[in-house]
Amino acid sequence: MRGFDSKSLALAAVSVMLLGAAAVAQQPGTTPTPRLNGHPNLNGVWYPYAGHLAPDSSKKGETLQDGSIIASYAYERRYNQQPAAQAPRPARALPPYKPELLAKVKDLSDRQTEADPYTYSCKPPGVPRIGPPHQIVQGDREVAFIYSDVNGNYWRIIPTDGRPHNTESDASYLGDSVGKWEGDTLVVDVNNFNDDTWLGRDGFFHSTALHVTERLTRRGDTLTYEVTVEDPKVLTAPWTLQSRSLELSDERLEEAPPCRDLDRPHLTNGDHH
Amino acid sequence: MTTKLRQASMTIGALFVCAAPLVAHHSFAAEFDGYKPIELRGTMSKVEWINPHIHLFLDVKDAQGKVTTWEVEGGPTRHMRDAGVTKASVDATFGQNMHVWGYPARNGSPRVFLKTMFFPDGHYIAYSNQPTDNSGLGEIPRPAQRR
Repeated sequence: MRGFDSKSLALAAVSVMLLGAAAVAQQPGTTPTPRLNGHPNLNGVWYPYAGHLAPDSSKKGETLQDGSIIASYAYERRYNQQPAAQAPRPARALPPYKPELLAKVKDLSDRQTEADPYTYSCKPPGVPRIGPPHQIVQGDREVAFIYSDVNGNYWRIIPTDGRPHNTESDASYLGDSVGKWEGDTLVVDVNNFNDDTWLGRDGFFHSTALHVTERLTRRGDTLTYEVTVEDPKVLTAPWTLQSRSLELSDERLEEAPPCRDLDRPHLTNGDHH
Repeated sequence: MTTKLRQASMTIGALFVCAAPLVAHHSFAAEFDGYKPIELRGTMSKVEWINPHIHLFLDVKDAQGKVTTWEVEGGPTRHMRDAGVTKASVDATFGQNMHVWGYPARNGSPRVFLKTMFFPDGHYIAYSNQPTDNSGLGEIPRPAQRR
Protein backbone atom coordinates (compact mmCIF):
# COMPACT_ATOMS: atom_id res chain seq x y z
CA MET A 1 0.00 0.00 0.00
CA ARG A 2 1.17 3.36 -0.93
CA GLY A 3 2.23 6.10 1.30
CA PHE A 4 -0.12 8.69 -0.05
CA ASP A 5 -3.53 7.83 1.06
CA SER A 6 -2.37 5.22 3.46
CA LYS A 7 -0.45 7.91 5.21
CA SER A 8 -3.49 10.08 4.93
CA LEU A 9 -5.50 7.46 6.68
CA ALA A 10 -2.78 7.11 9.27
CA LEU A 11 -2.86 10.83 9.85
CA ALA A 12 -6.61 10.86 9.77
CA ALA A 13 -6.69 8.07 12.32
CA VAL A 14 -4.32 9.94 14.58
CA SER A 15 -6.23 13.14 14.05
CA VAL A 16 -9.52 11.43 14.72
CA MET A 17 -8.15 10.28 18.04
CA LEU A 18 -6.88 13.78 18.77
CA LEU A 19 -10.11 15.44 17.75
CA GLY A 20 -12.20 12.74 19.35
CA ALA A 21 -10.59 13.68 22.61
CA ALA A 22 -11.24 17.32 21.87
CA ALA A 23 -14.88 16.60 21.09
CA VAL A 24 -15.31 14.87 24.40
CA ALA A 25 -13.81 17.85 26.15
CA GLN A 26 -15.97 20.38 24.29
CA GLN A 27 -19.72 20.27 24.72
CA PRO A 28 -21.35 21.80 21.65
CA GLY A 29 -24.42 22.83 23.61
CA THR A 30 -22.44 25.16 25.82
CA THR A 31 -20.68 27.13 23.08
CA PRO A 32 -22.98 29.71 21.52
CA THR A 33 -23.55 29.43 17.78
CA PRO A 34 -22.71 32.70 16.03
CA ARG A 35 -25.41 34.00 13.73
CA LEU A 36 -25.33 36.06 10.56
CA ASN A 37 -28.33 37.65 8.89
CA GLY A 38 -30.71 35.54 10.93
CA HIS A 39 -28.96 32.23 10.25
CA PRO A 40 -26.11 30.28 11.79
CA ASN A 41 -22.81 31.75 10.69
CA LEU A 42 -21.01 29.08 8.71
CA ASN A 43 -17.98 31.24 7.94
CA GLY A 44 -14.70 29.56 8.71
CA VAL A 45 -12.20 26.87 7.93
CA TRP A 46 -13.84 23.57 8.80
CA TYR A 47 -10.93 21.32 9.01
CA PRO A 48 -11.68 17.81 7.75
CA TYR A 49 -8.17 16.72 8.71
CA ALA A 50 -7.94 14.40 5.76
CA GLY A 51 -4.33 14.07 4.73
CA HIS A 52 -3.20 16.54 7.32
CA LEU A 53 -2.06 15.99 10.81
CA ALA A 54 -2.71 18.85 13.18
CA PRO A 55 0.51 18.79 15.16
CA ASP A 56 0.33 18.76 18.92
CA SER A 57 2.22 21.99 19.25
CA SER A 58 2.42 21.70 23.02
CA LYS A 59 5.06 19.04 22.51
CA LYS A 60 6.87 20.67 19.64
CA GLY A 61 10.39 21.69 20.45
CA GLU A 62 10.55 19.39 23.43
CA THR A 63 13.98 17.82 23.70
CA LEU A 64 14.36 14.12 24.18
CA GLN A 65 17.11 12.58 26.22
CA ASP A 66 19.14 11.66 23.16
CA GLY A 67 19.14 15.28 22.04
CA SER A 68 16.55 14.87 19.31
CA ILE A 69 13.67 17.29 19.21
CA ILE A 70 10.04 16.43 18.79
CA ALA A 71 8.73 17.90 15.55
CA SER A 72 5.16 16.74 15.77
CA TYR A 73 2.69 14.64 17.60
CA ALA A 74 3.08 11.86 15.12
CA TYR A 75 6.67 11.48 16.19
CA GLU A 76 5.69 10.85 19.75
CA ARG A 77 3.00 8.50 18.64
CA ARG A 78 5.48 6.50 16.66
CA TYR A 79 7.73 5.83 19.57
CA ASN A 80 5.48 5.91 22.56
CA GLN A 81 2.28 4.31 21.48
CA GLN A 82 0.99 1.51 19.37
CA PRO A 83 0.54 2.71 15.81
CA ALA A 84 -2.99 3.05 14.53
CA ALA A 85 -2.10 0.27 12.09
CA GLN A 86 -3.68 -2.12 14.53
CA ALA A 87 -7.11 -0.59 14.02
CA PRO A 88 -9.23 -2.57 11.60
CA ARG A 89 -10.13 -0.94 8.34
CA PRO A 90 -13.72 0.28 8.32
CA ALA A 91 -15.86 -1.34 5.66
CA ARG A 92 -16.65 0.95 2.79
CA ALA A 93 -20.34 1.25 2.13
CA LEU A 94 -21.53 0.21 -1.33
CA PRO A 95 -24.17 2.46 -2.85
CA PRO A 96 -27.42 0.61 -3.68
CA TYR A 97 -26.64 -0.06 -7.33
CA LYS A 98 -29.16 -1.73 -9.59
CA PRO A 99 -28.32 -5.45 -9.61
CA GLU A 100 -27.58 -5.46 -13.33
CA LEU A 101 -24.91 -2.77 -12.78
CA LEU A 102 -22.98 -4.50 -10.01
CA ALA A 103 -20.74 -6.29 -12.50
CA LYS A 104 -19.76 -2.95 -14.02
CA VAL A 105 -19.01 -1.51 -10.59
CA LYS A 106 -16.79 -4.49 -9.80
CA ASP A 107 -15.00 -4.26 -13.12
CA LEU A 108 -14.32 -0.56 -12.65
CA SER A 109 -13.17 -1.22 -9.11
CA ASP A 110 -10.78 -3.94 -10.22
CA ARG A 111 -9.39 -1.65 -12.93
CA GLN A 112 -9.50 1.47 -10.81
CA THR A 113 -5.86 2.37 -11.24
CA GLU A 114 -6.57 2.93 -14.91
CA ALA A 115 -10.27 3.75 -14.77
CA ASP A 116 -10.66 6.17 -11.84
CA PRO A 117 -11.07 9.70 -13.23
CA TYR A 118 -9.77 11.24 -10.00
CA THR A 119 -6.73 9.23 -9.00
CA TYR A 120 -3.79 9.36 -11.45
CA SER A 121 -5.74 11.78 -13.66
CA CYS A 122 -5.81 15.00 -11.65
CA LYS A 123 -9.45 15.58 -12.51
CA PRO A 124 -11.92 17.18 -10.06
CA PRO A 125 -13.35 14.69 -7.56
CA GLY A 126 -16.98 15.64 -7.98
CA VAL A 127 -19.59 15.77 -5.24
CA PRO A 128 -19.78 14.12 -2.74
CA ARG A 129 -16.33 12.63 -3.27
CA ILE A 130 -14.66 16.00 -2.69
CA GLY A 131 -15.93 15.83 0.86
CA PRO A 132 -17.11 18.63 3.14
CA PRO A 133 -16.04 22.18 2.27
CA HIS A 134 -12.62 23.10 3.62
CA GLN A 135 -13.67 26.70 4.03
CA ILE A 136 -17.05 28.38 3.91
CA VAL A 137 -17.55 32.03 3.11
CA GLN A 138 -21.09 33.15 3.80
CA GLY A 139 -22.54 36.31 2.34
CA ASP A 140 -25.92 37.92 2.14
CA ARG A 141 -27.00 36.26 -1.10
CA GLU A 142 -24.83 33.22 -1.42
CA VAL A 143 -22.41 30.89 0.26
CA ALA A 144 -19.07 29.84 -1.17
CA PHE A 145 -17.63 26.39 -0.52
CA ILE A 146 -13.87 26.41 -1.03
CA TYR A 147 -11.61 23.38 -1.27
CA SER A 148 -7.86 22.99 -1.33
CA ASP A 149 -7.90 19.48 -2.67
CA VAL A 150 -4.98 17.30 -3.62
CA ASN A 151 -6.05 17.59 -7.26
CA GLY A 152 -6.53 21.34 -7.23
CA ASN A 153 -8.31 24.38 -5.94
CA TYR A 154 -12.06 24.12 -6.22
CA TRP A 155 -14.99 26.34 -5.38
CA ARG A 156 -18.75 26.15 -5.45
CA ILE A 157 -21.06 29.16 -5.26
CA ILE A 158 -24.40 28.42 -3.67
CA PRO A 159 -27.12 31.07 -4.00
CA THR A 160 -29.24 31.31 -0.87
CA ASP A 161 -31.49 34.19 -1.91
CA GLY A 162 -34.00 32.15 -3.82
CA ARG A 163 -32.29 32.19 -7.19
CA PRO A 164 -33.02 28.93 -8.99
CA HIS A 165 -30.56 26.52 -10.53
CA ASN A 166 -28.60 27.91 -13.44
CA THR A 167 -30.11 25.87 -16.28
CA GLU A 168 -27.93 27.55 -18.88
CA SER A 169 -24.63 26.20 -17.63
CA ASP A 170 -22.99 23.10 -19.00
CA ALA A 171 -22.92 19.93 -16.95
CA SER A 172 -19.90 20.11 -14.70
CA TYR A 173 -17.75 18.16 -12.29
CA LEU A 174 -19.06 19.85 -9.15
CA GLY A 175 -22.59 20.44 -10.42
CA ASP A 176 -24.88 23.42 -9.99
CA SER A 177 -25.97 24.26 -6.45
CA VAL A 178 -28.72 26.23 -4.76
CA GLY A 179 -29.20 26.53 -1.03
CA LYS A 180 -32.00 27.26 1.37
CA TRP A 181 -32.31 27.31 5.12
CA GLU A 182 -34.53 24.79 6.86
CA GLY A 183 -34.45 26.12 10.37
CA ASP A 184 -30.80 26.26 11.28
CA THR A 185 -29.72 23.77 8.62
CA LEU A 186 -28.41 24.88 5.24
CA VAL A 187 -29.77 22.48 2.65
CA VAL A 188 -27.87 22.47 -0.63
CA ASP A 189 -29.41 20.97 -3.75
CA VAL A 190 -26.92 19.98 -6.45
CA ASN A 191 -27.63 18.85 -10.00
CA ASN A 192 -26.34 19.25 -13.58
CA PHE A 193 -23.36 16.95 -13.06
CA ASN A 194 -21.31 15.45 -15.83
CA ASP A 195 -20.57 11.74 -15.50
CA ASP A 196 -16.79 12.07 -15.39
CA THR A 197 -16.55 11.52 -11.66
CA TRP A 198 -17.14 8.67 -9.28
CA LEU A 199 -19.01 8.68 -6.00
CA GLY A 200 -16.12 6.84 -4.43
CA ARG A 201 -12.95 5.09 -5.44
CA ASP A 202 -14.23 1.52 -5.83
CA GLY A 203 -15.78 1.96 -9.23
CA PHE A 204 -18.73 3.97 -7.94
CA PHE A 205 -19.75 5.44 -11.27
CA HIS A 206 -22.87 7.55 -11.76
CA SER A 207 -24.93 9.07 -14.56
CA THR A 208 -25.78 12.66 -15.47
CA ALA A 209 -29.01 12.16 -13.55
CA LEU A 210 -27.02 12.46 -10.32
CA HIS A 211 -28.72 14.61 -7.70
CA VAL A 212 -27.02 15.40 -4.40
CA THR A 213 -28.45 16.95 -1.25
CA GLU A 214 -26.13 18.30 1.43
CA ARG A 215 -27.15 19.42 4.89
CA LEU A 216 -24.90 21.61 7.02
CA THR A 217 -25.69 22.42 10.62
CA ARG A 218 -23.49 24.41 12.96
CA ARG A 219 -23.77 24.03 16.72
CA GLY A 220 -21.18 25.93 18.67
CA ASP A 221 -17.92 25.37 16.82
CA THR A 222 -18.95 22.04 15.34
CA LEU A 223 -20.31 21.68 11.82
CA THR A 224 -22.22 18.56 10.91
CA TYR A 225 -22.13 17.65 7.23
CA GLU A 226 -24.59 15.14 5.83
CA VAL A 227 -25.06 14.14 2.23
CA THR A 228 -27.54 12.02 0.30
CA VAL A 229 -27.01 10.87 -3.27
CA GLU A 230 -29.76 10.00 -5.74
CA ASP A 231 -29.30 8.68 -9.26
CA PRO A 232 -32.38 6.88 -10.56
CA LYS A 233 -30.44 5.60 -13.56
CA VAL A 234 -27.94 3.60 -11.53
CA LEU A 235 -29.21 3.38 -7.96
CA THR A 236 -32.29 1.66 -6.64
CA ALA A 237 -32.66 4.04 -3.72
CA PRO A 238 -31.10 7.20 -2.25
CA TRP A 239 -27.69 6.63 -0.71
CA THR A 240 -26.92 8.50 2.50
CA LEU A 241 -23.27 8.76 3.46
CA GLN A 242 -21.97 8.67 7.00
CA SER A 243 -22.42 12.01 8.72
CA ARG A 244 -19.22 14.01 9.23
CA SER A 245 -18.50 16.20 12.20
CA LEU A 246 -16.04 19.03 11.63
CA GLU A 247 -14.41 21.42 14.06
CA LEU A 248 -13.76 25.10 13.42
CA SER A 249 -10.08 25.59 12.75
CA ASP A 250 -7.77 28.58 12.79
CA GLU A 251 -5.78 27.10 9.92
CA ARG A 252 -5.53 29.24 6.83
CA LEU A 253 -6.37 27.62 3.56
CA GLU A 254 -3.48 27.44 1.14
CA GLU A 255 -3.36 27.11 -2.58
CA ALA A 256 -2.95 23.57 -3.75
CA PRO A 257 0.08 23.16 -6.00
CA PRO A 258 -0.38 21.96 -9.56
CA CYS A 259 -1.54 18.38 -9.92
CA ARG A 260 0.60 16.38 -12.30
CA ASP A 261 0.67 12.67 -11.89
CA LEU A 262 4.01 11.08 -12.70
CA ASP A 263 3.16 7.62 -11.44
CA ARG A 264 0.88 6.03 -13.99
CA PRO A 265 3.65 4.99 -16.43
CA HIS A 266 5.40 3.17 -13.59
CA LEU A 267 2.55 1.02 -12.37
CA THR A 268 3.42 -2.62 -12.83
CA ASN A 269 -0.01 -4.03 -12.10
CA GLY A 270 -3.54 -3.07 -11.17
CA ASP A 271 -3.01 -3.40 -7.46
CA HIS A 272 -4.89 -0.70 -5.64
CA HIS A 273 -4.07 -1.43 -2.03
CA MET B 1 24.58 26.81 16.94
CA THR B 2 23.81 23.37 18.12
CA THR B 3 26.02 20.53 17.13
CA LYS B 4 23.56 17.93 18.28
CA LEU B 5 21.92 15.83 15.70
CA ARG B 6 18.64 17.60 15.38
CA GLN B 7 15.99 15.11 14.63
CA ALA B 8 12.94 16.63 13.08
CA SER B 9 11.08 13.50 12.30
CA MET B 10 7.55 12.51 11.68
CA THR B 11 7.29 8.84 11.22
CA ILE B 12 3.93 8.01 9.81
CA GLY B 13 4.16 4.57 11.27
CA ALA B 14 3.08 1.24 10.02
CA LEU B 15 -0.47 2.09 9.01
CA PHE B 16 -0.97 1.52 5.35
CA VAL B 17 -4.59 0.71 4.82
CA CYS B 18 -6.62 1.07 1.67
CA ALA B 19 -8.14 4.47 1.11
CA ALA B 20 -8.63 7.45 3.31
CA PRO B 21 -12.14 8.80 2.86
CA LEU B 22 -11.41 11.97 0.97
CA VAL B 23 -8.07 11.32 -0.57
CA ALA B 24 -7.17 9.92 -3.94
CA HIS B 25 -5.59 6.59 -3.74
CA HIS B 26 -2.29 5.62 -5.19
CA SER B 27 -1.10 2.08 -4.93
CA PHE B 28 2.29 1.63 -3.34
CA ALA B 29 2.46 -2.07 -4.12
CA ALA B 30 1.89 -1.60 -7.83
CA GLU B 31 4.84 0.72 -8.09
CA PHE B 32 7.37 0.17 -5.34
CA ASP B 33 8.97 -2.71 -3.50
CA GLY B 34 8.25 -2.30 0.20
CA TYR B 35 10.50 -5.05 1.51
CA LYS B 36 14.01 -3.68 1.34
CA PRO B 37 14.80 -0.02 1.08
CA ILE B 38 17.91 1.15 -0.74
CA GLU B 39 20.30 3.96 0.01
CA LEU B 40 21.01 6.84 -2.32
CA ARG B 41 23.64 9.56 -2.02
CA GLY B 42 23.66 12.31 -4.60
CA THR B 43 23.24 15.98 -5.28
CA MET B 44 19.80 17.49 -5.46
CA SER B 45 19.28 18.55 -9.05
CA LYS B 46 15.54 19.19 -9.38
CA VAL B 47 12.47 19.58 -7.21
CA GLU B 48 8.91 19.05 -8.43
CA TRP B 49 6.75 20.43 -5.64
CA ILE B 50 3.49 19.11 -7.00
CA ASN B 51 0.51 17.02 -6.07
CA PRO B 52 -0.41 14.28 -5.66
CA HIS B 53 3.26 13.53 -4.90
CA ILE B 54 6.36 15.62 -4.68
CA HIS B 55 9.30 14.38 -6.70
CA LEU B 56 12.91 15.12 -5.86
CA PHE B 57 15.74 14.31 -8.21
CA LEU B 58 19.20 13.28 -7.07
CA ASP B 59 22.18 12.99 -9.38
CA VAL B 60 23.93 9.89 -8.12
CA LYS B 61 27.46 9.14 -9.28
CA ASP B 62 28.62 5.55 -9.42
CA ALA B 63 32.16 4.29 -8.79
CA GLN B 64 33.05 4.87 -12.43
CA GLY B 65 31.82 8.45 -12.26
CA LYS B 66 28.71 7.83 -14.31
CA VAL B 67 25.77 9.93 -13.17
CA THR B 68 22.25 8.58 -12.93
CA THR B 69 19.38 10.82 -11.96
CA TRP B 70 17.24 9.11 -9.35
CA GLU B 71 13.71 10.22 -8.64
CA VAL B 72 12.63 10.30 -4.98
CA GLU B 73 8.89 10.39 -4.57
CA GLY B 74 7.23 11.69 -1.43
CA GLY B 75 3.70 12.50 -0.43
CA PRO B 76 1.42 15.45 -1.17
CA THR B 77 2.89 18.86 -0.48
CA ARG B 78 0.87 19.43 2.63
CA HIS B 79 1.85 16.06 4.04
CA MET B 80 5.48 16.80 3.41
CA ARG B 81 5.26 20.11 5.21
CA ASP B 82 3.53 18.54 8.17
CA ALA B 83 6.35 16.04 8.31
CA GLY B 84 8.89 18.83 8.43
CA VAL B 85 9.89 18.74 4.77
CA THR B 86 8.99 22.22 3.56
CA LYS B 87 9.50 23.50 0.04
CA ALA B 88 11.95 26.05 1.40
CA SER B 89 13.98 23.41 3.22
CA VAL B 90 14.13 21.29 0.09
CA ASP B 91 14.94 24.21 -2.22
CA ALA B 92 17.81 25.05 0.09
CA THR B 93 19.36 21.66 -0.65
CA PHE B 94 19.60 22.32 -4.37
CA GLY B 95 23.06 21.38 -5.56
CA GLN B 96 23.98 19.89 -2.19
CA ASN B 97 24.74 16.34 -1.22
CA MET B 98 21.70 14.48 -0.03
CA HIS B 99 21.32 11.13 1.61
CA VAL B 100 18.08 9.23 1.20
CA TRP B 101 16.66 5.82 2.01
CA GLY B 102 13.82 4.76 -0.23
CA TYR B 103 11.77 1.87 -1.50
CA PRO B 104 12.82 1.00 -5.06
CA ALA B 105 10.56 0.99 -8.11
CA ARG B 106 9.35 -2.42 -9.19
CA ASN B 107 9.87 -1.74 -12.86
CA GLY B 108 13.60 -1.24 -12.46
CA SER B 109 13.53 2.48 -13.19
CA PRO B 110 15.73 4.71 -11.03
CA ARG B 111 12.97 5.76 -8.68
CA VAL B 112 12.31 5.28 -4.99
CA PHE B 113 9.56 6.16 -2.58
CA LEU B 114 10.94 8.19 0.30
CA LYS B 115 11.57 6.41 3.56
CA THR B 116 14.09 8.63 5.34
CA MET B 117 15.70 11.85 4.18
CA PHE B 118 18.90 13.26 5.68
CA PHE B 119 19.49 16.97 5.20
CA PRO B 120 22.97 18.51 4.82
CA ASP B 121 22.77 20.13 8.25
CA GLY B 122 22.38 16.74 9.88
CA HIS B 123 18.68 16.68 10.69
CA TYR B 124 16.56 13.99 9.17
CA ILE B 125 12.96 13.22 8.44
CA ALA B 126 11.62 9.71 8.73
CA TYR B 127 8.73 9.97 6.33
CA SER B 128 7.40 6.51 5.73
CA ASN B 129 7.85 2.96 6.86
CA GLN B 130 6.30 0.03 5.06
CA PRO B 131 4.80 -2.76 7.17
CA THR B 132 6.63 -5.22 4.91
CA ASP B 133 9.96 -3.62 5.72
CA ASN B 134 11.68 -5.61 8.43
CA SER B 135 15.10 -4.81 7.14
CA GLY B 136 16.02 -2.30 9.81
CA LEU B 137 17.83 -0.42 7.05
CA GLY B 138 17.65 3.35 7.21
CA GLU B 139 15.87 3.30 10.53
CA ILE B 140 16.35 6.29 12.72
CA PRO B 141 17.48 5.44 16.25
CA ARG B 142 14.76 5.03 18.81
CA PRO B 143 15.03 7.71 21.47
CA ALA B 144 15.98 6.43 24.91
CA GLN B 145 13.55 8.32 27.06
CA ARG B 146 11.67 11.59 27.18
CA ARG B 147 12.96 14.25 29.48
